[in-house]
Amino acid sequence: MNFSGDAESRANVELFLSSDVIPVLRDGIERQDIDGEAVVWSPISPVPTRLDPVATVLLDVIDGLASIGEIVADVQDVVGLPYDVAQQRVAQIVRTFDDARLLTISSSNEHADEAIARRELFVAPPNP
Amino acid sequence: MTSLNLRFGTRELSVVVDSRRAAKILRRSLEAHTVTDVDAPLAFMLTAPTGFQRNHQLIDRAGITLSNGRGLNTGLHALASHLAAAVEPSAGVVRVGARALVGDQDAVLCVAPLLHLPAPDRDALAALGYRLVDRLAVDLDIETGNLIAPPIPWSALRQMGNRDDGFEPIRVSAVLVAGTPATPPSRAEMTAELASRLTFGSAHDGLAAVATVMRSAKLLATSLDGVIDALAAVAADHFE
Repeated sequence: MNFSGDAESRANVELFLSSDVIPVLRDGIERQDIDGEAVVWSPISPVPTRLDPVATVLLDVIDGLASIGEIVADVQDVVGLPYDVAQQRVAQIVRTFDDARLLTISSSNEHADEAIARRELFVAPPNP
Repeated sequence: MTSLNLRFGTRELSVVVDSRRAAKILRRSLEAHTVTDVDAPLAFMLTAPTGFQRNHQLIDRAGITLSNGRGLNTGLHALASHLAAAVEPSAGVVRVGARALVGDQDAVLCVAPLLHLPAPDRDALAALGYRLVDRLAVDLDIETGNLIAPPIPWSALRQMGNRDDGFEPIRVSAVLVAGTPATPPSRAEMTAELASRLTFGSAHDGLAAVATVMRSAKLLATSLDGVIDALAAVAADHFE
């Protein structure tokens, strides 16, 4: 089962994590890899997101074929984590992906290039 | 006080000046951008020299001094240079909110709040061979990541300074960010941070240009008053 669409994203992610479903990355994601970490920019996010090395590896594992259960099992095998811990780690990373609006279940009314074009030119710096 | 509302593409901003002469010059030079049917957010305020006060003062909307030098013309030049960051850049270039220090061989990018508070010591920068570009944003070549500064597009204002702020593309050797020197952010974190300050260009081009810079530039975290020391470390690398 693949999710698509515009339903409430967070609720979808929770359902997603409790189901044996296949996570699918959204089309059009911009990605740059630097020192083992990826910087990704969803077409529906106003800002890019940096992924830590573990999340970067998992980004490659999400190929539109593997289910959450299979990904957890892979993490358990490769990293040697207990199943519960592997499940929690994968859940955390999938939430990060959702926050970054990388998944087809992630919803947003934003558009990256439109957000850039609207950005204020001369923003006052934050108070130190 | 005179407020000028200006439109650059889809963005609007206003400039406040306290001098009739400055207002007249700006109106004439920026006629193509002047609008009267909006109440645009304040971006800059220029106070002209008067009486014994021979220096102009250019501040941003947060009240931070951007330029403080002798005469009105240099103030107008500094203002024009800042306003140039509102004009759409040429093809092949993206624009990112950051300040640039330019030397003979290289440029250094400083991410806010660095060089905002405390005000930069231009003499100390010059002693290290760098000058501060009067712009709150930098243009990066998408292919090379090199820093580009197109000249001020309004000739009357461009001619008011001793020096044009435009220069040839130059390599970015370092990026300075506020933080603890011992634990700078990762290059990927800094790439995301800089790309989130993109004001012109697509996400694709902006992320590519910033990543190109961050792959080769030295990344240093420094305290707010440690910019000069950090810059000295960058400059020292040129002699190793």
